[in-house]
Amino acid sequence: MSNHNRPWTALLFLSPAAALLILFAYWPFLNAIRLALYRSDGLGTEEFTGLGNFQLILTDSLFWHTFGVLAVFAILLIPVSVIGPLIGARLVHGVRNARAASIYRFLFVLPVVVPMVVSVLIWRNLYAADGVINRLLETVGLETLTRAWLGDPSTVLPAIVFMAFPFVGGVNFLIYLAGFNNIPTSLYEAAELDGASLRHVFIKIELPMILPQVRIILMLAIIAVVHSYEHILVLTGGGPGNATLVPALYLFRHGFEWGNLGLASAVGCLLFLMAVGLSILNLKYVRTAE
Amino acid sequence: MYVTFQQDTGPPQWRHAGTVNEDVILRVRTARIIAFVCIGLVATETNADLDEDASLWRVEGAPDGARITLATFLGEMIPGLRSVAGDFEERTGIRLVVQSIPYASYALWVRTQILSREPPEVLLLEAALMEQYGTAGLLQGFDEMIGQPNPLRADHEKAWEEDFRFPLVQQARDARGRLWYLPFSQFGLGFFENRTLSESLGLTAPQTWEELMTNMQTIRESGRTAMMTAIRPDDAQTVWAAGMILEALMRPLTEKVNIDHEEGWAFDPMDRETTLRERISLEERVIAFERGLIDPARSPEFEETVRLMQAFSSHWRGDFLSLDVREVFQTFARGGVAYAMNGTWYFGTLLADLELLQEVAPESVFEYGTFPFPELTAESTDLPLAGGINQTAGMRSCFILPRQPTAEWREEAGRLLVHYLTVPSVARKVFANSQSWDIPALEEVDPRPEAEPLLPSSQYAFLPVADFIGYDDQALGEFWPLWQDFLGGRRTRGEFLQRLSQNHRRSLVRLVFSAGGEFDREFVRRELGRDFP
Repeated sequence: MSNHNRPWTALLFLSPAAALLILFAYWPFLNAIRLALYRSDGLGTEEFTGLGNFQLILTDSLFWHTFGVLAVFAILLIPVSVIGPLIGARLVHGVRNARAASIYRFLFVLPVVVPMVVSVLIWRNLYAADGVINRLLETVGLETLTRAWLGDPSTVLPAIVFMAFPFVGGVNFLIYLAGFNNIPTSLYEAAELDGASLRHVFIKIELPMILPQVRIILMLAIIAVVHSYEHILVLTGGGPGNATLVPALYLFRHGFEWGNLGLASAVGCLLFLMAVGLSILNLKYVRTAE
Repeated sequence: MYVTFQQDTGPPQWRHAGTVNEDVILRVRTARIIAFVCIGLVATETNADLDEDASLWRVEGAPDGARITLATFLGEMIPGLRSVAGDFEERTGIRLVVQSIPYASYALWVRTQILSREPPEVLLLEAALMEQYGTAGLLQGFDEMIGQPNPLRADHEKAWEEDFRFPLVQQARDARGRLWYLPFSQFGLGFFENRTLSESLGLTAPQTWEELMTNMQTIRESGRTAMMTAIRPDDAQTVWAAGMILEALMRPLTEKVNIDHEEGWAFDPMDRETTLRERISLEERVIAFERGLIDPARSPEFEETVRLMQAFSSHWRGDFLSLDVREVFQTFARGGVAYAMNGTWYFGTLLADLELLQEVAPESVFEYGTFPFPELTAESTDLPLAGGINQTAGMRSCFILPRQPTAEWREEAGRLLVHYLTVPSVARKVFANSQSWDIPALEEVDPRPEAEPLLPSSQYAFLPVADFIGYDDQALGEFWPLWQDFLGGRRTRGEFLQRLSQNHRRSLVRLVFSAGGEFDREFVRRELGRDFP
């Protein structure tokens, strides 16, 4: 038996990563569960309150409001996060010219390297009262449509969702493209011989073949929607009023601005359960379809 | 019974004006030359007010080669602070490191530093979000020190508090009356004005609230934008304005709220001296809240403040809910708006923007002016006025002294450094070498000439019995969405005051919990006839 086949060798090589994982992922996670049962300001004072933090959260109307906001985001954002890159990947997959396909691939993936904050600040300028969007509307005679996009509760949520434009999402696009590339060419040839239309090829061959990718991307989209708040923090700070306050931002404020670490941990636990629950539903649903 | 004081409404006067043209460029450059000359003069100024007694400069237990750190996000202050580091080291043998920290998420940075148990000895920051550390016993308070003379001053024996511009030290106290922050500079809140635009409409600088409202109405009727402001945590002008109005309106209630005062204390709303050594404790605030005196839902003063601010907001550019502070600056500098409300620090940004404007779009030049926050009069409100508005929005920057669990000498060195930096000759040098336009907190240190017109001109008794936003960091966080909803027209005045009342009460309850055994329940029970909460 060679060295690399011995179990202890594998353990030895895995142990640094495992140690870091335990230190920076599992320990904080377990500690957060413990903290959720305490009244803690994170500065040394801890008082056991049992499920008191959960009770406080669940009776706070603002917390439920944040779930309303989250639901709107989920309804608007998850479908475009799943479908947008799918369309992009399918189109690029269909490009016959290898050089052109390579260029398109590069262009679709390029936005990934732009830091989120930079992208958010650009969009903030676009949405500004004197920004490009309002100026364009004025230029084409649609000044009645100009508005404070981020200052109006009726437009701020769609405005934030639209920041994902053109909705092809670099990483998701790559995952789909890998899925398309793995479809055996024999299936395409058989379909062509049978005279299948492009629509039939997509529905009957491609979609079933990339269903595992759909499942992954759907799960990632759910987790991202539930956990992300950074772009909202930078763009609107949760406002106007609480119009864009999502649960994760509610958690951030309690934990890192107001010193309610126990309460923030309890919110984190609830969000974790929610993400796990939705992911299980997703797996179950997509597997059934498969 | 209180006397109602009618404000003197004499002819308006320009406090300060400048022109954005070659003249402005010349003025900016001249100011720079003067600043350099001043730096030279300050550098050669003798520190006659510094006590040279070597025993005062010794820090017990400090090791050889000791080093302490002052951390700040106020980048404009760093050259000034570094300019005195050598002198401090020479006197104490302790090296002073001035550390720059980024403004973004500085609160989180401070948290990690304090939790590390080896935080910088001195922090120079804004006070927001810092109170929790004081409450948790992680900061050194200034309560005892402030009543004593600055030990490093050779020229007088007055209490340290009297070295500061009134009423900054009072404003720096937290809801429990404790002093965690020592002011170093202040916001002189006032109006910046496009004078070219105002003059074209025949307007002069308003001195009273009514004149301000009339001017804004006239500007709007001319089709121009009267005022632009943002309603966000990083652009707190509207809250400062509301706070100043509320303080003035509530002054007549001072005696009813300050029930646990020094024996023989007598309140005179026109005499600042009567409030210098008084403070409102948490117990007094709780009692006043429960009696309805400072409960937003029941207090006519709160309602009046909100009414005035609502009327004020009707003149702002309509997109104020989506604006951020930079857009306000840029639009004002472009001449797109008549008034912008801001602190004196804005001079730095404004002059830089105007200089740029002169270079890229000279046709947009305009003359600017400044005027202080206007006074309330009997015309402004039906409520009794005992004096007018103390025209200060409070501290800009302040010193904070974290506790040092690992070495006691570091705490002492931190205190020594703060005493040193607040000796007028030293502070003068710091400000002269800085690019700060803030008004120095020390009475004997002059602000830059441009900022002088916004120095608070009125000094009434100051013992703020209520805080417009609430009483802790969480109340501040909860306030902004409520304020945006109200000013944005999505809540009525009554709804806003009801919600604000709930926020205030919750913040008081939190403070009572965190005070634990220090909260005098017996006193509260005696006064209210029941417990709180």
